[in-house]
Amino acid sequence: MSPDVHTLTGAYALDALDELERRRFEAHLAECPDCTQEVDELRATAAKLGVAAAETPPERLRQRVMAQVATTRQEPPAPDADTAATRRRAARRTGWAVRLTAAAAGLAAAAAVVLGVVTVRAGAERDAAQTQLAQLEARYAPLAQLASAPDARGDSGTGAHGGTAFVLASHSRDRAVLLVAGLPTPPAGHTYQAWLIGGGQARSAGLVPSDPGTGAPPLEFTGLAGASKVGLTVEPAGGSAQPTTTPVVLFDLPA
Amino acid sequence: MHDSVWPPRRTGQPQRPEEPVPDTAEQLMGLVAKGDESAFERLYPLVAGAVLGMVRRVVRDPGQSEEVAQEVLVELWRTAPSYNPAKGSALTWALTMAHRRAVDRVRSAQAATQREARVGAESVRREFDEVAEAVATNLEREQVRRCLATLTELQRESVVLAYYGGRTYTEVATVLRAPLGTVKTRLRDGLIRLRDCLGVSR
Repeated sequence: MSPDVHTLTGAYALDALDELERRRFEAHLAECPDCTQEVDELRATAAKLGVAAAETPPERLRQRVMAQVATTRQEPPAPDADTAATRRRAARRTGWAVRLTAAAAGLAAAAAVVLGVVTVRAGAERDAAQTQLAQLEARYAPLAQLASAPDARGDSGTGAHGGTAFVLASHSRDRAVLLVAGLPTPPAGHTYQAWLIGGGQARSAGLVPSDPGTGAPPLEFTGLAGASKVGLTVEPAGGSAQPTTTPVVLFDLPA
Repeated sequence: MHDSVWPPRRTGQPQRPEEPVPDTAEQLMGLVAKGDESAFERLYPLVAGAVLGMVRRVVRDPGQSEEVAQEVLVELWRTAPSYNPAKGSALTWALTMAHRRAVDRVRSAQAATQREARVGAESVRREFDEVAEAVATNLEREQVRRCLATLTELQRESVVLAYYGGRTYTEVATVLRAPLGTVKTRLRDGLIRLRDCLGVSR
């Protein structure tokens, strides 16, 4: 935990963070039991300041509250926030771990086919097959490389019209890889463009290879500082300088 | 089954068929979590005064403050099944919710009117003086007042502006003309000193 993040426990307990920082800090809290303990204590302290301001409430407030309570359904118990966040994160990782494993298995199967072909055929065809295999390996190399970073984290978002996008990011290496699966084909003459969003601004992270079947490598990008979200929009072929449509997928850049 | 001899019965006390009436806010929250409206009615006087008083410090407008307090108290009922006593007292849970709502209310109003540009040093003094005055009327307040006095001036002003003023630390830094990093740190070490002085655990 960086000392800078830990300093925010006070501001957080006093609700003195802006919306963006608050969400970032909460993501951090879910993974930092020490901070959670401190935040709980500082909140209890802040509550004392609240109690010190107590006044006698008017009777009409009690009547209104009781009347509203009588017609208000209670919510089911929320799973403990910390546990829920951890579980969600684990589920997300597992989901993509499974998919990545499947991709790796696919790669192995492709290799086996290629090799099988290689044993049957010879000469120029074998060279072509080896090139194909090398291409497949090259496609997934950035992902494998990035996954080895100690702070590599993944997060994914679901498309408004189906499909998913997944980002694996490492802030220490200032690198991220974006994979998409099952997004609808963009209209003719259009493409998906990825954006890094933060501080009220969007920066292009590049054009998203439309069909993974074409053998295009996953989109790699850098310049993660200041970004908190990843979004995908449909843009005219060649991309735009700024997003011109509403994102079809929008999710948190892993912190 | 034979008559149980334990627990021993105290003589001269009327026997009550039901369990003793729980009276701590945490015990009441346990009942409220099961949908017990009468338990909520008993919980209400234990939290409503602090909720309304604190919200009024932040929101200031009496009508809006009552609205926010009402929202918070109904939210306390609505979300009672999620209350976890291990995370803190029922009063802390209620006031955390209340502060958050109060701050949301003033910040959305602020965004609408761009009022924040006019925050000046004068209003800091006023907020602090009012608090210092208001917190001097009973034992609990006296303790908070005494502990606030053990903070350095910058710690105290930062904590007071953030909590009672509903300011972000960025606004606090602007108002106090102090570096952002310093205010962040003062909010934390100020609260920690306050925590130790008040003997708060969770």
